[in-house]
Amino acid sequence: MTKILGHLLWAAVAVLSAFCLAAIALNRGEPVNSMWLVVAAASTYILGFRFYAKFIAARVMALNDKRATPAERLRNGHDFEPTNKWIVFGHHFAAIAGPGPLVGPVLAAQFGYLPGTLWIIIGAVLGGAVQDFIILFASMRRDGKSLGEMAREEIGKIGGFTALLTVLLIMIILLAVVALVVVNALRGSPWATFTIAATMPIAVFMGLYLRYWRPGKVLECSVIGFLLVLGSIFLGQGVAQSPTFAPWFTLSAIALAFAIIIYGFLASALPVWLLLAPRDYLSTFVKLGVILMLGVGILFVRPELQLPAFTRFVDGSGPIFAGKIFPFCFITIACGAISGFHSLISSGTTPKMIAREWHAWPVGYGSMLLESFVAIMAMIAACVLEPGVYFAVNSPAGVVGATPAAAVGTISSWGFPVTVSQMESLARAVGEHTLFSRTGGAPSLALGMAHIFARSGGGDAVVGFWYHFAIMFEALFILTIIDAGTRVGRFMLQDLLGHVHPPLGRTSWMPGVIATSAAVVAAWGYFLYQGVRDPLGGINSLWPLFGIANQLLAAIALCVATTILIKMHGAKFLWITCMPLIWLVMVTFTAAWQKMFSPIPAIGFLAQAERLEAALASGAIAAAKVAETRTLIFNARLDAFVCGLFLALVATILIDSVVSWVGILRGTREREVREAPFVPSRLRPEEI
Amino acid sequence: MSSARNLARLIIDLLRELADEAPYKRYLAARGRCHSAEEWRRFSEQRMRARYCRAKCC
Repeated sequence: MTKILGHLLWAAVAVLSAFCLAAIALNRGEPVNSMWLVVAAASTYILGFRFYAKFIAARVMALNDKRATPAERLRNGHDFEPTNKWIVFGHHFAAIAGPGPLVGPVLAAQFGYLPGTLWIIIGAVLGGAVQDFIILFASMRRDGKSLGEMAREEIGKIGGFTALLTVLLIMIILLAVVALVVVNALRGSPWATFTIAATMPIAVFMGLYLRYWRPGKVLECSVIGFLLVLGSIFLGQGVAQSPTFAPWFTLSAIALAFAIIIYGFLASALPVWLLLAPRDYLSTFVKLGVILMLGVGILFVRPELQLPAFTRFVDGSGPIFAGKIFPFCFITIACGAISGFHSLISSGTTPKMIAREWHAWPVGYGSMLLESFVAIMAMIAACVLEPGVYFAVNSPAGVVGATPAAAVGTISSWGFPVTVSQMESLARAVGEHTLFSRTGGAPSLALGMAHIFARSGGGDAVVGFWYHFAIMFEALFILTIIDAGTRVGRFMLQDLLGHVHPPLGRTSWMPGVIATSAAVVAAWGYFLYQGVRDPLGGINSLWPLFGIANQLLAAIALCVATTILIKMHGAKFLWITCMPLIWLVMVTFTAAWQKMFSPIPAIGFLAQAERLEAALASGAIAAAKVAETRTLIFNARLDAFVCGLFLALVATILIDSVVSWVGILRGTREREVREAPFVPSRLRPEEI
Repeated sequence: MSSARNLARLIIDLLRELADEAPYKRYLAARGRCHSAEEWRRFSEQRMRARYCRAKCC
């Protein structure tokens, strides 16, 4: 009887999922309530988790709770420690949740809510969560080895080296693009700039507090830090209204870019306890709290989506980024559907904390589903804005026009009516001078979040506070990625250069630290500067580059996962990882090819360079702009080169992997599964 | 009531883990040492060195 009830319950969930997906897919012309998206996503995730992931766990991986995990076998009370599964779940989720799932869906909403939403749900269930889960499993069975180490062992030396090089390159692009998001959010906004500037002395105060006054009291210190940050948001409003102080914090994009570059250098070279670590603690707690608040806010307000299912920009003429739904929707939303970076986390700290093998099921697969749900919430936050407002905020001045009148004229002519007075009153409500062309995704996400939070309580009187709270939240954890990423890049570079000149490899040798920090900062700083100077806002070129890079890293992770599955089962379960891998290869290779060679200058880097060169040759460029145009031509070619380099690196790994798979299947290559030997678990339930 | 208490305990445990307070407690227990400013600094430096050698997710 219970079994029949169980079957009926799961059938009901399946029907609910199909009904909600059909409702959001087939609805045209009428506003859709956000709850349809929430229920469609949640019910599909539950089905994916219960059936698909459990099938992979039981039949493919053969998870076995009697087998001791590395956390038990190599327990050292430090890195390796068997931990409660829900704590590992929270830890893993906090590590994988970055700005990607928040910003990507906001940008992809230019196609309408439907393409992005379907990709987030289907991509996560069949691709992203599978990748995270299998890599976590593989690392757990190999004493917590990293993706690079597994690539070297399972595929070969070329694969391993290429994976490491790809990670370094991806990080450079990632840091530039997230820094650009912050620059665009803070540009010309004294309130937001003051709030973010205030987080630096607050982080230093927290660092000193933890080091000298109350060592070890991280939670207590984080609460104080959070209250100080809240205070700085209130104070920021006063600063923005002060004729004396407002000009100090009203910075241009170039000035902000240099400020972030200097910050990145200092954070990389300074002792980690002083700035980086306290900011990291604070950002983790704020991030989890805000995500929870957004979820509760959406459930409470149940807003209607204002953007249609599809917009006219499915034809590739989008103002935020150019290109058709295929492939550009699928690289714009990387984190939230499938993200290569997650494989670094799944083969990092997490496998060293798993107490029982079956815990990898909720931790690896479940955390990614939650991240995907965050992306759905970001999509909702973007789509609750009036379409005219959404495009006015996100479209660069180079596309819609530099004056408010020109911008509203262009956007209204697309069929998304918006007026100057509407934009002015919205800007006034959130304490900004203007909201036109605030590209990058962060301001429109903050507007959507402020709208949801204000409707949850407080009304219009608190919209300004919530807008700046959301900006603070986004900027805070993006800056954490910048400072930590610069430091990691520095370590990678020191490691590499240490083979050439040994002192450069020593992390305690100050000249080496300064030189390598400067080199890494200069690398991402250059791309940031390029984005800031770009007349199309930078996001148009840098975000697709980042999306391609991130998805290519996912392709590498899936190559490793496929190799492991072939070694375990032959070709039987090949489809599990090959299905997302083939899709990713199609998406990323098409996107990269179009970004390099499309004859449309808004899409193809080389066509863009050619058009500018032709304009230079014909004398159409004013003398004062010649040097700038030459830089733009160089940058377009550099972007094309970077795109080509990513493709070449991943093609190398793919070919290496396919050769290895064919060899294993034909029996000409070693099929040994390089797992740690079976040791029975002696862990008692009360120890977890 | 007890499930609410369990949930609250779980959340506090998670926060302690994320704040490195729980790993610090384990570190002290594994080495049979007592808390002091010097011990915290030693633990924290070791932990940070390992943490910031790895890329953060986007």
